[in-house]
Amino acid sequence: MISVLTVCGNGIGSSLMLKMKIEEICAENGIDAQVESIDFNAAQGRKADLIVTVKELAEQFEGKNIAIVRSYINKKKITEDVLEALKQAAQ
Amino acid sequence: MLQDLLSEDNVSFHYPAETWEEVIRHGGQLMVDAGFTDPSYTEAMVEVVREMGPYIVLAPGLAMPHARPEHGAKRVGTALVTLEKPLNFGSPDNDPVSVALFLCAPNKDEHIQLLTDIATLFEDDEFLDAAADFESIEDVQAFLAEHLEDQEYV
Repeated sequence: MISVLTVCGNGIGSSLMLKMKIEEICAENGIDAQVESIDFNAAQGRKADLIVTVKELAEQFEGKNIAIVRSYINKKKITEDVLEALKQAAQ
Repeated sequence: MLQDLLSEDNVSFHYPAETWEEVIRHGGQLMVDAGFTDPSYTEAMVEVVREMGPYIVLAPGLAMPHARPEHGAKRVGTALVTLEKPLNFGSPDNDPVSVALFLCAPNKDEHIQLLTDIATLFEDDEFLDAAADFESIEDVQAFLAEHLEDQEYV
């Protein structure tokens, strides 16, 4: 089981959409993951196997395992952007 | 769920805004008038964009302004604003914006179906063009009935 945080400014909108998409992607690829959406400030003190967010926010997470997505809602783009990182985290 | 939350009181068509902030304030006021939010929520939606950037622009031409539950969200709600002319929100990938679909929720759970509906619309290739021609709540509901019909209600 890997832990994944999806991050946006508020933790209830975009990051929750992203969480739902990532759960679908994990299920389709046989990756056992616990995904949680969270706001940017709360994410700072959290540990996770992978943090997924957009470029503007990613720059402020130094030294953590980050995957950058181009979209919070487009499943095709999200899959292209995070599937490899999810697989690596699950190994 | 989106169909149930939209009425003629919280939709606005061809709004003549000059800045992204005017768009957010207009939609925010619609949500206040509908009893979904306190005025503080409108201010918080503006602050989110100032502080975190235009990530609320989720798809080409489409924005989902929102803030945190504790900033004055009273219950799950929404508002729809279409713009007279597309405006830049500062999003490198998705500007200019011509439709804003607002979101408020009092916690992290109750609005999941609403979010699912919004995501479905924002990924629907026909939504952006169709929204430009919306003139009434009936137009909106007709589109939603056709394009969200397979959605499961929770």
